[in-house]
Amino acid sequence: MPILDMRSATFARDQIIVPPVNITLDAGKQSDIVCETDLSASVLARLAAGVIKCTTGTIFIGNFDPKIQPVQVKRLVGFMPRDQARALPDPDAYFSYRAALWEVDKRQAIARGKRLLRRFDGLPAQEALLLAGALLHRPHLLVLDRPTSLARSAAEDASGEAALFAAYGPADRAVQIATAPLEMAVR
Amino acid sequence: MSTRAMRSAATFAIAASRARALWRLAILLIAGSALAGAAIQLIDPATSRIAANVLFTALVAITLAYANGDAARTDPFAAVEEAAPLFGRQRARANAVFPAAVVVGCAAAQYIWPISHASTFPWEAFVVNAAAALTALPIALSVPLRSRRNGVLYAIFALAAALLCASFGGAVGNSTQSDLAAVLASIGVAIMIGVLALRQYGEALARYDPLPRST
Repeated sequence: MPILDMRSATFARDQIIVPPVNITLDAGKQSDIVCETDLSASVLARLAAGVIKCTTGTIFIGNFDPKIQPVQVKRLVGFMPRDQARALPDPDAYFSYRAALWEVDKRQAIARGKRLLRRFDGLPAQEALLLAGALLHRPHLLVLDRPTSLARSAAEDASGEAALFAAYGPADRAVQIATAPLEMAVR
Repeated sequence: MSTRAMRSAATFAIAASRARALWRLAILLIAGSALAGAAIQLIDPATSRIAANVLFTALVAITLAYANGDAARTDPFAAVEEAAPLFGRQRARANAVFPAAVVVGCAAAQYIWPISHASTFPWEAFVVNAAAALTALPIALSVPLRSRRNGVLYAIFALAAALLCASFGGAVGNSTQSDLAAVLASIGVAIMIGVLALRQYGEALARYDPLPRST
C-alpha cells in the first residue's frame, strides 16, 4: 500500500496553482519533484502533507483521505515548511509546543528533539529546529517544502523507515542539481 | 497521560502561543478600555452609556480577533498548527481562549473609574458588557479567514450581535424590573449565539486552505 497516492490532483484558487499531478510513493521510499513556480512547489508539499485539500482529483495518505480524515492523515505526516519564521523560538519551548499538539509525551519529545538537533549540527539553526520538530512524532511520511540540499540530506539520514517527499521551485532546482542529483517524479 | 489531558494540553499550548504573541496588545487594549470607560461615564443617560460600553468592548473584540488571526499566520509556533492533528473545533476553541480572557478583562477595566468614585462595582453592567463582547468575539474570529468584503460584513455582524445581546438583556430587565433577569438574559443570548458562532468558526478552520505566506 503506498503511503502517498496522488491521482490527477490539482489545486486552484482563482487560477490553477498546481496542475494535475500523479504521484505514488511507497512506504520507506523517496521522491523529489520540481514544480514550475515556488508557489506551486509549496502548495504541492502542503497537498502531500494533508494541510490543504486538492481542488480536483484524489489524494490518499496512508489510505486516508485528507478531506474526510484530516486528523488521521496528519498523525502520519511530518511537515517541514519553508523557513519563514521571523524569530527563532526556544528549542525546548518549541518541542513542548509540538508535543502538546501531536499528543506526544513532553519529556520524551524534548529529549528526542535535542538528540535530533545534535544530529543536525551542520544545518542552520532555524532549519534544524523545523526538521527536528517535523520528526518529533516519528512520522510515516516526511514532507519537505522547498528544502535546501543540506536539509534534504539531513532529512534522508534521520527519517529512518519513513517515506520522504520533497517539492522544489525552479530556483531550488538549479541549486539542487549543482549539489545533489534529484530523483524526478513522473508528472 | 489520558487522551483528554493531551487534548487539553493542545488547547493550553495554542492559547499560550497566542498569549506570547499578543500580550503587549492585550495590555494596551485593557489600558485603553480603562481610559475609555472613564470617558464613557460622562455620557448621559445610562442607557446610552451602556450602549457605548458595549460598542467599545465589541470593537475591542473585533480588533483582538483580527490580531489573533494575524498571529496565527506569523508566529513561528503557530506556523505548525495547520499541520497538527487537531479538529477544526479544537483549534477554534483554543484560538478563542486568550482573546476571550482579554475581552473580559477589557470589559472589567471599563468600570475602574466608577469603582474608584462610587466604591461599588456595577457587576450587572459588567456582566452584560462582557456577555455582549463574548457574543461578538466568536463571530469576529472568522474575519481573518474571509475575503476583505466578507470580513467587513462579519465585523458588522459581530457588532450587531453584541448590541442584540445587550438590548435583549436590557429589555428583559426593564420588563421584569430585575437586574438579575437582565444579566441571565444576556448570558443566555451570549451562549446561544457564541456556541453557534464558535462551531461555525471551527468548520471554517477545517475547510480553510492556507496558502504559503511568502506568496
